[in-house]
Amino acid sequence: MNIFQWIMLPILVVLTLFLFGRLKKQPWIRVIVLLIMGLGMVFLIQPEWSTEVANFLGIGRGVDLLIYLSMLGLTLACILLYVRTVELDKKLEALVRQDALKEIREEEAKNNREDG
Amino acid sequence: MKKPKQNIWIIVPAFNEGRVLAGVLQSLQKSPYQILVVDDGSDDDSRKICHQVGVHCIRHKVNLGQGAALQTGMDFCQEIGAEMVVHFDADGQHRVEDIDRLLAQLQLGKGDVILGSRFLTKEDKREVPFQRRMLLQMARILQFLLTGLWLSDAHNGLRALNRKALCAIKLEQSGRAHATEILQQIKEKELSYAEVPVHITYSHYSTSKGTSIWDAFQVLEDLLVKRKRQT
Repeated sequence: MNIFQWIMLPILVVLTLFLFGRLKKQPWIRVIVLLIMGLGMVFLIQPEWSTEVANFLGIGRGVDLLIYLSMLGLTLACILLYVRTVELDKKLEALVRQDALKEIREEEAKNNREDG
Repeated sequence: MKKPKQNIWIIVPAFNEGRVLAGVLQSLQKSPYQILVVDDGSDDDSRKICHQVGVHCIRHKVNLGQGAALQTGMDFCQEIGAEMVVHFDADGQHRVEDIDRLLAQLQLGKGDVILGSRFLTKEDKREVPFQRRMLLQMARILQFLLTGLWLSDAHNGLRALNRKALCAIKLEQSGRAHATEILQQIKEKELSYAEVPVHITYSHYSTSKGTSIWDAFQVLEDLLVKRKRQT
């Protein structure tokens, strides 16, 4: 193993464990993450295998296969982030609305008391 | 003696409309209805203007979008037992006189929701700039495909709802797509509706704040993605 492999391997392991811990509520995403990270680690240790898989799939070079996989991974990550953002927006909206309504209720009650 | 205001509420969603808000609210105050501004996280002095003019004001601490502001206003109106509500834009493009026309149709039972349309009379139609007319025609077609309702106008912010519609409609679309979502809900919740001619004033200010072609793409994205998520 070269120095790049020695540096990247622990990073990938830590990242996998981190993501695995964060995705407790989404088991199917956990499996996808595990597969992608596992594949990444295998290709990191045995780079020539990526070429063999690429040849098998008719892609050609191993590096092309990795680029395609990276693009797929990136697209998946974007979709997941988008969904998460929409969910957070909904929660924020509910919270802001609740707060705004509470404020006007208090204000109206105060005005009513002052008006007698 | 000052005549007491009716239990009909004009909901005015406003985001950074300080330049024109005072004028709009002063003209609305001539009507016998209650006025509720939903300040959607404005950075300007919109809230101060509301207090100076003396209208009810709800404030979102952060900007959420026009649809969210309208829903907050409707939640409040529902809570206090409003009989009818009117959605009225804060940018000065709507006429106060048109409110009575919308409410008259509601009171006559012509529909649970009365929608304003700028394409029902030749005079009103003539006022719409060419580019906007084209955009609105495309929006009408898209609106029909998404809701099944074939209307003469699209995304007209002036509309009136009776109590039944006020309680039934729950806007999920926080942005501009709420205008199409209202139609979807009219269809889904089997509410009746009618269109009434209204006049839109196209000032430089209101045109600059109106929906552009790029906003239209955003509306489309919201409708398709969020519609998909709801099903």
